Amino acid sequence: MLEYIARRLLFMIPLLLGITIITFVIIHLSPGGPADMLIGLSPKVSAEAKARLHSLYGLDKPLHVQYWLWLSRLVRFDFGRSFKDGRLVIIKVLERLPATLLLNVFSLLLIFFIALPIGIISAVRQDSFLDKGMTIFVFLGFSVPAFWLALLLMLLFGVVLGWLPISGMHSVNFPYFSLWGKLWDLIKHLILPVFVSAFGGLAYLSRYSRTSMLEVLRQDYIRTARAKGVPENKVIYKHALRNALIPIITLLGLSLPALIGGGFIFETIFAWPGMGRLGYQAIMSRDYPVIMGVGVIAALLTLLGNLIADITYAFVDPRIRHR
Amino acid sequence: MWKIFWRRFRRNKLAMLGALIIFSLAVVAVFAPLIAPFSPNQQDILHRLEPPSHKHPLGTDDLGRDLFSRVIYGTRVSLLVGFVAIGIAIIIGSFLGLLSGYFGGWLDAVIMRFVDIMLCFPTFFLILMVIAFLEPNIWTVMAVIGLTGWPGLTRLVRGECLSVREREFVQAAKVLGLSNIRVMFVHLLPNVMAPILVTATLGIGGAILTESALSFLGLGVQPPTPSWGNILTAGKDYITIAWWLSLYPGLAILITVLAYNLLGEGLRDVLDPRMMAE
Repeated sequence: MLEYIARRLLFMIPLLLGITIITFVIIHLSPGGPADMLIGLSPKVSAEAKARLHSLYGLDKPLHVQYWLWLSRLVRFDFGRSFKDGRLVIIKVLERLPATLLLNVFSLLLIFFIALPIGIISAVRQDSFLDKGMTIFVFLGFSVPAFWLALLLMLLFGVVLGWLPISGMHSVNFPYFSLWGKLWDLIKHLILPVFVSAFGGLAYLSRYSRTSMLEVLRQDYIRTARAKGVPENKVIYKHALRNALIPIITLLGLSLPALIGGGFIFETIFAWPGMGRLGYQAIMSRDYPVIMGVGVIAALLTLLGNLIADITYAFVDPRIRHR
Repeated sequence: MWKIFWRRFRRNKLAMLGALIIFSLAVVAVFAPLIAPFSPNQQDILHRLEPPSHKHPLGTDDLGRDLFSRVIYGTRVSLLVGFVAIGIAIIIGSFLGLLSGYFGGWLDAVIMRFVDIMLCFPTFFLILMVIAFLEPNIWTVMAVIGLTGWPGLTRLVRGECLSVREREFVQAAKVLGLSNIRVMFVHLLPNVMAPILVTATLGIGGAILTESALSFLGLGVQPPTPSWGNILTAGKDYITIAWWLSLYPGLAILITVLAYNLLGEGLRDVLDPRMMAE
């Protein structure tokens, strides 16, 4: 098992290098480059000062040297300082990370614990009323623009009914609440963002677990179990479910990029103080170091999610480890 | 063969519904000036934020523009972005997939590692990042969605190629001494067309969703050109007093994307080669 994990970790290195190269290329796509962006706002900068900035950023060196310098700063998590407030980018990103993780973990849990039962039940009762209803739900889940769903839910639960807060992570008077009050306040703020960010994944995973379960139910060992006279309940929840779960685990890991990517919209709409909103604000104010920082950290999180999925997969299915 | 497809397709009611909706949307997009009762940018500040009425079926926005006309013109943006973006993605994706699946070896390894890397980026953020460096407008949006949308398809086409390449007719073509290019495009490509077509149809829906999200965030199609996404941005600010601005453009997106998804899933059922054998 350890050997397998080590192999997976080694495999991540070329991927990481690739990610940094793409990010680096995107930086250099920017017309004028980072130095011009810094001074672009004031036309009074002399040519000499410009040259000084260029050498400071290493822009006068050949491209591969620049990449190497940039990469060596990157491995020390040195993304530079924000153009806007001069604070270290890594600190700005890290202080937003917990909120994003909180949102994504709850979304994943919601997806897993709702989509899985739906998928399994509709596979077991294929073509039933429930199965048809689920198909409609899946199509809607694929087709609804999530930000629009967010707007409608904000309108319904926040404005018309007034049950839930529609933005932020805490109420204004949060510091004065008791511990339980604080927790309750946080949960109330979480409900809408978690539901909206889980919605697309919900549809996708329930569809997928239905397919996976149907596939397993056709296997010979299921027929054998039934022929042996194993009770139907046991056939489904013990023999079939365990095998159907395997591909679903991988899919959860793979749904991370979509969740993190979606975060840039949901966090902005719900004013959720996470990484996505930071990234969006950075994009709107052209704060390049922050944009790059958020991009690299988001890609890292995705890689990490894939790694966890791979390891869990190998844990559940011994065949994978020995390949 | 196409007759069989068509018969099977006609029986699939949901797919037919999808095709019908898409056809109507195309008609609406082409004849937008004839259908829309007002010019999409004609302001009438005295009648701003009016609820739906006989004169303005979907109400008016904050500048008194007719929402119905704006939604109609928005159809053009959505369909154009969907087609062009997915066109780009399909060309890149199928070409790289064909190369990878046909030649194998180091070329395959390089392309597939690149695909792995692309799939690691949260696509939406990659798009946001690139647009941040460029000028956001309809052309950059189409290009960026297309240029980031191909990796999944490459993987799919490669997988199909791997199995088709071993079939006798491909071997025969090679033995006959046909050039690699000819084998790839004349013999392999038609046999992997079905999954490409399905992915393209589903992908157009996805591209329309992405465009609307980008426009909603102010990084897509720029006002005053009406796009369903940027109408919603304006609607968000008036959500408490003018619900129609938030409801209808979103409904338009939902119906359009739903139509492409229905058609795509229907095509999948119809074109599935495993069903051909039956």
